[in-house]
Amino acid sequence: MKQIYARVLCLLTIGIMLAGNTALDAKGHEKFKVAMLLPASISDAGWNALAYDGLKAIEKELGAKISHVESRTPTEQEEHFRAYALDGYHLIFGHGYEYQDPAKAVAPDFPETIFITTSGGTITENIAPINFRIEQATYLLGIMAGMMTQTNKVGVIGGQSIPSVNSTFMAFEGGVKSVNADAEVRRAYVGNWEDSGKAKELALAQINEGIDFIFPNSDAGDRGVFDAVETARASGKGAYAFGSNRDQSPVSPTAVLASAVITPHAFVRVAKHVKEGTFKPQPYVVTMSTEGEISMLYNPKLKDKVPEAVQKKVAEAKAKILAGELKVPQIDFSETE
Amino acid sequence: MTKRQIVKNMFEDILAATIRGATPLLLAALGEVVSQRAGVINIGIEGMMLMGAFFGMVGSYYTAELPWLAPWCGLFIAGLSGLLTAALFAFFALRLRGDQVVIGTAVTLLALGLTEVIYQRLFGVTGTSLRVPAFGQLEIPILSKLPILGGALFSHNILVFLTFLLVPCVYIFLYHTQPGLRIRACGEHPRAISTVGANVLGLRTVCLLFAGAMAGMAGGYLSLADVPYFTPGMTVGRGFIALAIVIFGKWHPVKACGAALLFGLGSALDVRFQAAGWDIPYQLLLMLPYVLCLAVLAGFVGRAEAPLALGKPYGGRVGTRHYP
Repeated sequence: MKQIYARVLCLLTIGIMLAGNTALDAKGHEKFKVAMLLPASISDAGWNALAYDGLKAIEKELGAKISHVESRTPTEQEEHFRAYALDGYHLIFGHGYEYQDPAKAVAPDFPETIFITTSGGTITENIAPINFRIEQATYLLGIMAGMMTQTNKVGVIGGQSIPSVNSTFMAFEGGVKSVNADAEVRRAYVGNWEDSGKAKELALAQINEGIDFIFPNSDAGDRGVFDAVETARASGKGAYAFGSNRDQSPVSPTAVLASAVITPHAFVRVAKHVKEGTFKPQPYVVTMSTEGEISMLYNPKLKDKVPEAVQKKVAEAKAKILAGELKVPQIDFSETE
Repeated sequence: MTKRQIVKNMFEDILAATIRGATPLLLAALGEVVSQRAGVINIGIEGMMLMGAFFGMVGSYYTAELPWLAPWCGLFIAGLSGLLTAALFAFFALRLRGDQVVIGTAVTLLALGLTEVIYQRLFGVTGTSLRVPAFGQLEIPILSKLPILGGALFSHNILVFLTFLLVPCVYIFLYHTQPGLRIRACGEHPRAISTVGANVLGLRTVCLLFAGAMAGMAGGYLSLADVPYFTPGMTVGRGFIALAIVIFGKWHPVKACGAALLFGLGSALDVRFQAAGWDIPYQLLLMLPYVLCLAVLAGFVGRAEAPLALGKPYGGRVGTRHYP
């Protein structure tokens, strides 16, 4: 008797799972379904939070059914891609450079599904990258740091040494050197994307070394850097940090001078192409020229700390970038394959 | 600055960072020493730390109107949440005599998911600028003004001092009191100690709960003293390092203190070398704390002897394989 119950229960569960599978909209059409794989928690107030904002915007503006999952290891990434594709998702984002290989492994089996990696150079029938060229904005931050530094030492702190992060550092360094050839840019890496305690220690050590401007690009680690800068400022050392990926001035109004910001709109733009069938396997490049999806935002509370001359120089460089006269140094992802 | 001053500053920075880095590891390791001496491997230490880090932050957040009291409330809640997580572990590992390693892993995974879910429910999904009242820098009068090492040794938050004060306390308790002797006997030969009327399961439970509370407070250190906020998964393996420190320290509180400091030194050097802009691949520097500990273990410490009954469930029918 028990066995029969167990079998019925099993079938029932499978039935419910299958029934829940097809999401229909009001007119009975199958709903547009979008999923996202993320390297870490969406509560990092940075890179991952940004992607989640984008996913929510897709839900709101395109009426899509959305889902997301944290997948850290390559095995997990491949599994999750496969699971969503099997579940009939039309569009799956892998939020980071590291999702290219798993996408390549899975995509040929699911020609109906579009796989988008944020950052990368992999392009096949149904894989394409969105490349957030935040470098243009970090170049502007570099100009600010290069002109304002008192010690001629500025620092960058990354989560791990991956091309998409190093590319922002390269642009930042380019910005620094363009206005101050003597300045030195020092790199440090936390080793992961979560350890804000370690990021704080790195920033404290950099400040003790005389570094007075820090640009972090380490997800949750960024907060540790801001905390270190606040601590240093409280003890009378003049240091500032910059925000990356998302407007981080609200996170630390006294430490973040300005941020290089990605607006989540780019996710919606690409999703719209997929929904309307106008998707082409090509890199979707997001820059300061594409509807302002990348921008450099001053912290409104600290803008008066940036001298007029510096603001002017930044505005000039921005105009040159928009006019196409200035190419910002960055890593070409299609060549780093 | 003269060259001498630069060297002195650098030395003091490294020493201060070593102590800061060692404190949460030591706090968790001290609890774990007691628990393993009683014969229980608490692999869930990482999970208990994570629970402590999260609930410690929550405790401080809800009492933020009293900024001087809030971190202490947070610390209390952190310890309590670690203790309750340990109680869960105790139920499965001691009462139901499950495999301690498997249950510990499950507890860690549970904490990883649970803290993030509750965090997102309480404080919003994408991470806010939330910060809570935290422990401030405490400068011990006179001592912190000593010309050499004063600043590095005696200018920290209060948890650092309390943690290092606990080391001799745990040592004296374990090696020079009767309950301490009984606890150690529990880990070496539980049957022998039960024949003189000691309650092995009871003792082990108490030790495990103590380890949980200590791990919880170590987590609280991360979110209440290291940085004044919580980020999901912020322990990043520190619980497992604490576990390793217990073994490096040969299940002895004072030696564990040395191991924790050694590990702290490794991380401090990694951070310092990176900040100095030396052209060494950072991946090599990340290995430094581990390599340093291994080298010392292999070179100086020698063979580590675990408590004989470590990890073996106690109880059940006489003559089963569970008896050591």
